[in-house]
Amino acid sequence: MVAAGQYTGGPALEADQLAEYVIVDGLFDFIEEAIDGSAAALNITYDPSGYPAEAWIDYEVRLSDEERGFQIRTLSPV
Amino acid sequence: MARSKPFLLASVTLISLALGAVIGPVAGRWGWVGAIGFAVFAAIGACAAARELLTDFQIAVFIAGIAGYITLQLLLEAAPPRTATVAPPTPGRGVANRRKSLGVADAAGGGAALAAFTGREILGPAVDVEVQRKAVLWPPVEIDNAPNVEVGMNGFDIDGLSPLITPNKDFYRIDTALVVPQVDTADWSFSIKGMVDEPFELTFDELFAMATLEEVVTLACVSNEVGDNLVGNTSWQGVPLASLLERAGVQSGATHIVGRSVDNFTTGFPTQVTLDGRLAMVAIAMNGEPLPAAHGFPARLVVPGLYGYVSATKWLKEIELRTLENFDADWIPRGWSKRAPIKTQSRIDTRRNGRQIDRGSNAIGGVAWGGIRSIEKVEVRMTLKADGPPEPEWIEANLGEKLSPSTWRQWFVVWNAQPGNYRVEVRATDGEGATQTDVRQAPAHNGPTGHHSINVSVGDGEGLADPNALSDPREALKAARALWMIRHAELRYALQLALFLPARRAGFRRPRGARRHGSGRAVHGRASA
Repeated sequence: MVAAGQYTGGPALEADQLAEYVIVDGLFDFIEEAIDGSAAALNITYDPSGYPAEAWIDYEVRLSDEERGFQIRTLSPV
Repeated sequence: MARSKPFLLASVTLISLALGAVIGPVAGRWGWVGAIGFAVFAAIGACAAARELLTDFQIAVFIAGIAGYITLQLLLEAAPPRTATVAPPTPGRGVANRRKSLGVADAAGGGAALAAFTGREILGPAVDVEVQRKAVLWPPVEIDNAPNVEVGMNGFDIDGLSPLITPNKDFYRIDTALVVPQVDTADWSFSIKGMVDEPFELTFDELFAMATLEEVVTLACVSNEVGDNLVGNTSWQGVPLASLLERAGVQSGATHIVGRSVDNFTTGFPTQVTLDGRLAMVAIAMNGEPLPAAHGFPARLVVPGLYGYVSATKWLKEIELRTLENFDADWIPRGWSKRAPIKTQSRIDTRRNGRQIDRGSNAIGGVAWGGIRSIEKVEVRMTLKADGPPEPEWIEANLGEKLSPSTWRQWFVVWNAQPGNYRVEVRATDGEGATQTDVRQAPAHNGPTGHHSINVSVGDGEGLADPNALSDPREALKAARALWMIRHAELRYALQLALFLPARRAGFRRPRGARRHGSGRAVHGRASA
């Protein structure tokens, strides 16, 4: 991952938060954990290549501000 | 050599019944035949039990022989007379005799089952290996140069592909023990003796405290037919064999290392193989936990690059240094080779022989291993069996991580399959540049050779599913992972990512057009896409 941040310019993420999303496999794991944890709702869009292009996860409908998501803006081989 | 125990047990039972069926009627006429028959049975059992050092079976055999003979006498007394009598039979007496005979037979059968159960409980080992395993302080010692292995790591995540590290529960088991030895660590010790300057003995705690080596090693059974699964890849922890031999001081001329188990099974391999840098060890753990009982608790030999029958002694109690000429380990007199390096092999895991697959993108994958020579290349070819070109080119497969020189490597190719009947074949090339031979050879007497191949039929259905078209989030994730794996696993990507933590506070809205994978619970108070 070369860059990550809050969608609307929030505070920079801590290193340990970034570490969760270093590679595509990490994003798959993120989604899998949400499924295993019985998230209340998931919206996932997969790229034709298979990677999760966008995700939005609501863990508990009665709570606000616990939702999480991501959107891959660019992805390039290194 | 492999998988013969059920056959052996069934054979023993059937032969015993058949002999009993012969002896029984003869004993009805000449009682001494029955006595001799049971005496011979008991003697054979006692001789076999004499080889079993962990339990006191001789007493059980003696009791069983006596009980069997008494049972035979009761059955003979209860049986209706087989010869004609001068006096007319008493009405109903024959039926009563048969009933009595059947009653005695039922009682004998029930008694035997009860005796077997009770005997096993009373005379069986009093040791609970699981309790001892759990009592081991773990880890017993810090590991030097631990490999970068996580327990349970899977490598490529492709349906049907063997995981990179074989879980303990799935690791193959081949040994000669009809009953898994249950070793009491309080009484157990490990020793090195024979042609050494200073023989020594170690207790369980002393040996565990020396287990500073961890290495991922693929073990294979020499009986593993081409394409079969008597092979596994595990992270082993143990005491370097080289350090134990150095401490003992191996004498010149000691060309043979003999491993002996608590039930006196022996393996043997040339001393020379411990001098070429391979990380042979007296292993005390696999995949981060003490050896399971079935895999040799408390200790076993692990020698990278050698088939198990010459090296992988489980329930190890001693190592003896001898010469290759003056000792044959257990399998050698049966014609198996004394020198048994693991041959290069490759296997197709993801598809089964004779199955139909869909046309389009399909992942074909498996594992390949080459002893201590590692694997540097795996190739696959798909030959259309009818009306196609005679033989297409080999396609080089994507290779997975090489955890050590003596581990297997996962491989896969993406095959854009078109309808037809194919033979899919794989071959591997080891780190010394030698490509696996296609000459088929049976396992006896130094390991199998030949390419693994399967027949597949490609149908008209579509291949990999579109994850966005699947409503079940778990199925969608699985399909997406499969797509990603076969199309991009060979590349590392840099991501530029926008994260939403939490989404609402950051002003995030659910992406338009995103497919909703609900968990079955209603979403209230949220804008939907």
